[in-house]
Amino acid sequence: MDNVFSWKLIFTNIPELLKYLPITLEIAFSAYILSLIVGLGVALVKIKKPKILYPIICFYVSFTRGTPAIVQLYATYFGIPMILQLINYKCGTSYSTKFIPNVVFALVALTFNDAAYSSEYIRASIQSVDKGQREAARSIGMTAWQTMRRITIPEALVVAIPSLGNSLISMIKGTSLVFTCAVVDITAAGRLIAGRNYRYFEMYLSLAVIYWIITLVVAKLFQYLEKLVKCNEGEAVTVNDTN
Amino acid sequence: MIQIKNLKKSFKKLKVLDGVDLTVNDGEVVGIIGASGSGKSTLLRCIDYLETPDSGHYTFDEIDFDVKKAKKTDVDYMVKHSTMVFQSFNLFKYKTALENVMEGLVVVQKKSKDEAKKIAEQYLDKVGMLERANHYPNQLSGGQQQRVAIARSLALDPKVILFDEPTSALDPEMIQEVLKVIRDVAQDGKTMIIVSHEMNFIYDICDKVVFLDQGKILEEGTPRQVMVETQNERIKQFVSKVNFIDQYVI
Repeated sequence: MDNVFSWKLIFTNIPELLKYLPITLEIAFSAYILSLIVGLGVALVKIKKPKILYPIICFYVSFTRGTPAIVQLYATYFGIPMILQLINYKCGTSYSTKFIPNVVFALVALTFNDAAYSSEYIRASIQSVDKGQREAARSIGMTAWQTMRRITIPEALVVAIPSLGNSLISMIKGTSLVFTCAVVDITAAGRLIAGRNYRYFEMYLSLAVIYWIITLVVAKLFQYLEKLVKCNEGEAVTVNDTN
Repeated sequence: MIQIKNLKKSFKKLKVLDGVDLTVNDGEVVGIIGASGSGKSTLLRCIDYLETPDSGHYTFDEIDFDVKKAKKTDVDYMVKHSTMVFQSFNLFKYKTALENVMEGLVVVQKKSKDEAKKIAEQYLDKVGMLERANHYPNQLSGGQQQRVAIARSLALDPKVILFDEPTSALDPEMIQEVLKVIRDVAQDGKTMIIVSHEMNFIYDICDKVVFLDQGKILEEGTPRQVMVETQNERIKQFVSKVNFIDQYVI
């Protein structure tokens, strides 16, 4: 019974898993960037409340936040081809998803899942920017777009940094679900490898170590980023001289 | 240069401006006085289109438009050529004093960075803030921030500068340094409209004073006519209550 658990295996597993790390990171970072762009769009709709788009977006956010990510991944992976089939059948067209790599389905699902969450804190950060800043920009003649790009978004970003870090961390962990779309990331690879010798427990611990280290690095990175922008604000000092 | 006719603005059911007419000539310094809530700030904000008026007619420089049929280009022209100095300064938080002044020059007037920097430094020097060009707003005192804000407005060489209670958020000590800068600007012949509760300052600096009450102009004329010689009971009552020192009355 002395081989029921192997400490050594936890670490010897890691090099083999690391071969799949690029896929995990690629999916995590691209889905993250895309989700921020989509999230910004959604946030702007929530602020401006245009007539037709607003209820649609509200429904999307509510639905996405109210259902598990794994369901959304399955729905994307199996749902889109089925809808296409139905369209092909009804309209006599021949669209196919055969040539779309599986990873795209995973990306789409993760992006729209995360965007629903990020839109909320992006909206809050944008609305936290003092109205006076926008008015000053308007007063010196900047257009709405220039104000958004040069004043509002940079200031909102500073407020959003902690949430942005949180969101990236949960995105990295969220990629462990992409096996549902038949994409082999480190988690999927770990399961496959463990299937050879049934050492699942050690394998999951190896995965835990890898995920933990990545998220530690990300967390540190965002802490540093936060410090950096705080410097840019200038340290608050009491100024008494009135030269 | 600026002519406003029958300007009206309501917030929900509250009539803030109820048919205001105002004429400002080139190089003129116009003071707007009146109690809080009389519509002074709203009138200024309507000129910079921070509030969109409900109706009225503007003549600004060479353009001429009615609010209800306003073209975007006309409004943009007016906004571009008028700048506001705010009560709460509103310097861009993550930009240094220099970058604050450069922003409009680079982004709106499309000047090169070098040229913008030169102009910005020149105006910072004018308000006595060149030494602190690389400080961020929260490293500056209120008076210093307001002086940078004035430099930011001036640098764009607007046709008119609108001062919206520029000293109301300042310590008494700092008020004078800001008033001195505004006085200098006035002496350069800039067209300005000032909303302020600094009655002595308004009396001193303005060519014309307008008394606003409940969204309507009660009286306009020279500072002496409006603030000292007025026959209007409402204005008499107002002037007697604010700290307007009677040194001028005698």
